[in-house]
Amino acid sequence: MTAARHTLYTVLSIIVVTLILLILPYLGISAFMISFLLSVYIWVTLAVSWNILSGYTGYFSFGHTAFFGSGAFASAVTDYYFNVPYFMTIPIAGAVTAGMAAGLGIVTFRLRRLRGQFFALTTVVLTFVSSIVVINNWGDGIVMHSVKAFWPFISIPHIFYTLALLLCVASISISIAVYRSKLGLNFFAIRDDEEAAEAIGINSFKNKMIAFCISSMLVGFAGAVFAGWVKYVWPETVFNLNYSLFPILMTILGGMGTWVGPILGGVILTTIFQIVAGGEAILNNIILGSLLVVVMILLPQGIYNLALTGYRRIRPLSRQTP
Amino acid sequence: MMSLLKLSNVSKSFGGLKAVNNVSMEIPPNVIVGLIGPNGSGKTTLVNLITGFYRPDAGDIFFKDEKITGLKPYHIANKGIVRTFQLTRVFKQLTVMQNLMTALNSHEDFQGKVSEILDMIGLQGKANTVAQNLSYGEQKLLEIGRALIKNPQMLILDEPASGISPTIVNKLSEVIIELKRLGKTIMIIEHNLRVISNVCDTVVVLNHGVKIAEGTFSEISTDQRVISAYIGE
Repeated sequence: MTAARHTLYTVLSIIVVTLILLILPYLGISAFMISFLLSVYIWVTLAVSWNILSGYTGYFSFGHTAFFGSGAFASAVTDYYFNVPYFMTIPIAGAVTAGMAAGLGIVTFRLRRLRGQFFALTTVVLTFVSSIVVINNWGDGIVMHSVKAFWPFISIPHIFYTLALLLCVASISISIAVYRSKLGLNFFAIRDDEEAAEAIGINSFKNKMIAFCISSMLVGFAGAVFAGWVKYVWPETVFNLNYSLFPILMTILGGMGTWVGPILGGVILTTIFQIVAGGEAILNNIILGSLLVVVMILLPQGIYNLALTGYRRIRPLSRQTP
Repeated sequence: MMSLLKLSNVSKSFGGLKAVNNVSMEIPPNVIVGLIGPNGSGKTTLVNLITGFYRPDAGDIFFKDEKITGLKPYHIANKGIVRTFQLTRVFKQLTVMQNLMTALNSHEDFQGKVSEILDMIGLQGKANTVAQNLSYGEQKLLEIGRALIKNPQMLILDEPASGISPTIVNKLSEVIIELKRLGKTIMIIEHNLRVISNVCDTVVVLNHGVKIAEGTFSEISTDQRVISAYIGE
């Protein structure tokens, strides 16, 4: 299959799946199902965006919580204090979190000797610093203005369902586009050997900045969509460490560094949490902890890579050249 | 004669150790230069200085009469000096073809270039093999291929023949000579003196960070300072 046809098939399948999911709420599925799918979309967005930075470039981030919370509060603050229409607060939230990533990246990515672990540590620090700033200023939370339903058939849940779906599809599309482009190759080269990448002319600083900003911007959008959906934005809900940890677990479970992995892992884990724990927070954490250990030991390469290896083994040898 | 690469009084210390001490040299275009010396004589440090991985404490480096001292490695690579590493550093999780493509600036006409390089390094049948599944020697060739696809004016090879089979060493010598024919300038660090004597036009000898001799292989192999550096007083 040629690359152009491959791209065409990918684009077509994304469009078809998106259209089906878009009309799903109008086919009479339950309110519970709508809110469940909405949470799937948000988690998949978080996992996919984490993978763009950490899966592709190898720089492990624990900063998703910082960006998710900041995105949610950027949306709430501009909505509540500045009366910015809700839909405008979403790009603002993305700009705020991308700006935070750029600020942190300029400091940490420039220091040549402080690589992986140091970066991971600074993302943890960013999480605490940003949550403290928010708690000090808006510790009691913010109640956002109501979003108006457009016309009789598009109710508020439908609006947020659609927003989350579109965000999720956009994240996946960006993730695939990066994966298949020269930009993606640069990221993978940095992941495998940063010095060797520099030696053949790849500007690692610039590429890491791009990855970090794209990733954080998507998380900021997700935070804003979540804020509008729950309407009451409270620091302890949006600065929950689960927003850093779940996407990591989802991506590793699905297959880190592939574009399919985080989608697979996001869907599977959100479903498991819903079925087993019914969204119960403490149970979720117990499941998270045990799963993290089990996945790391039994399945470090992820479901997708495992399936791929299995498929290559059963596929006739003559067809192995793509 | 205009020099392609010029080092003037370059020095680099690590703590109290003078790894490279006041080294000057000029490399004209289209030659193969060998850089030899005992272990710890500063050869790899010198390469790191030329390619921007280290910044010299003193002295300047010029490439095509342009000062490149202190530029970042990727910047120097894009100016036309590409290096390989002593222990091969291919991108292990990428295929041979992807490894080659990382060094290109765009996707345009990559297929022609990739197959040309694959022919040259003899890895035609392995374009879709993941690099970590290659033998060590093949990885070395791939690393050279990845440097070549950038079409650099100058190529610096850090111990290309270490740890690989004699057949691949021969293949490597062929590739190096072919590159000179194509107009490239090549600097080779190597302990395998047979390779050095086979391919190099001139040889520079370092000892304790100081340049102690420069000349053709037969000249330096009779040089008393070189012999004592290698064998001892």
